[in-house]
Amino acid sequence: MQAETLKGHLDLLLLAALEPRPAHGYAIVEILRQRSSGAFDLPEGTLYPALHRIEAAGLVASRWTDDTGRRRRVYHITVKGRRSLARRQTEWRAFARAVQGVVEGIA
Amino acid sequence: MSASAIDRYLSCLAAELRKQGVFAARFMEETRGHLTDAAAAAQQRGVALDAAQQEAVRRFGDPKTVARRFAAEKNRTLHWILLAAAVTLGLAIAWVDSRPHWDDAGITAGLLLLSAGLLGLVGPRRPWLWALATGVWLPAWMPVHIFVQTHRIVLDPLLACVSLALSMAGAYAGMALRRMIVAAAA
Repeated sequence: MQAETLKGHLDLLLLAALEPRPAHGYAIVEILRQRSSGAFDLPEGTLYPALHRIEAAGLVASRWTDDTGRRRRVYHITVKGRRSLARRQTEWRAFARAVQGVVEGIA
Repeated sequence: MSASAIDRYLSCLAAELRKQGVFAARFMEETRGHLTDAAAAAQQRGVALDAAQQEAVRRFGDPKTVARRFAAEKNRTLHWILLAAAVTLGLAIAWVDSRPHWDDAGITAGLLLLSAGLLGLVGPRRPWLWALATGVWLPAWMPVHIFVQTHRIVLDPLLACVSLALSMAGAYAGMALRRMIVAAAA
């Protein structure tokens, strides 16, 4: 899938990927790839600007860890992030239903 | 010993980030960790070390694009703050310069240079915009001020050229200084 197609939905995807548990950047890419069965195969470097942006917005927080002997920045979703995710999920479901209705001709 | 594909990529990304005038030590460290993880995962699938590193950097994306996107995200909020500051400073300089008792063109020129320079230093991605937003008000204010006083339309193209040239020089000097600071800090 084209990175441009994903761009408008990246914040929602990142929040959804971090919702179950904290993860570092590479793990987030893997979660997105696995959950989308390989469809979301974005240039991985573009993930970090988005992560930093939603961190600045208070939707996620991060800290350095070296549990496995390698220093990694681990991100976790905040309370504000969970509220934002719930709102975006509702909006997305409504949007997806509407698009499907138009494209597939379902009443 | 030749540098690995990851090291070469990181050097290239660092250079692109310096061009953008962005401090990004944390991002660089995250990128190194990401590429190391990605290469290790590829090796676990049986890919040779060199090929695994090359695959990791290819998947991360073109360094120029990554650096530009990082700089754009970092400066998104700052952009509007700087634009508002540029307009405010430009209007303030034009207003001060239009006062009847004010006749020091040197100080006005210095203020324009300094204001645009500071904006270019803080926001090195769009020096031309800070220059325009700062320098356009002086030549725009004068005709309005004269028209209100005398009901005559008097345009001064020389003032417009000098004002914009000064603000451009200031903003680009600020941008150059920022790039030098970032390069020295790297």
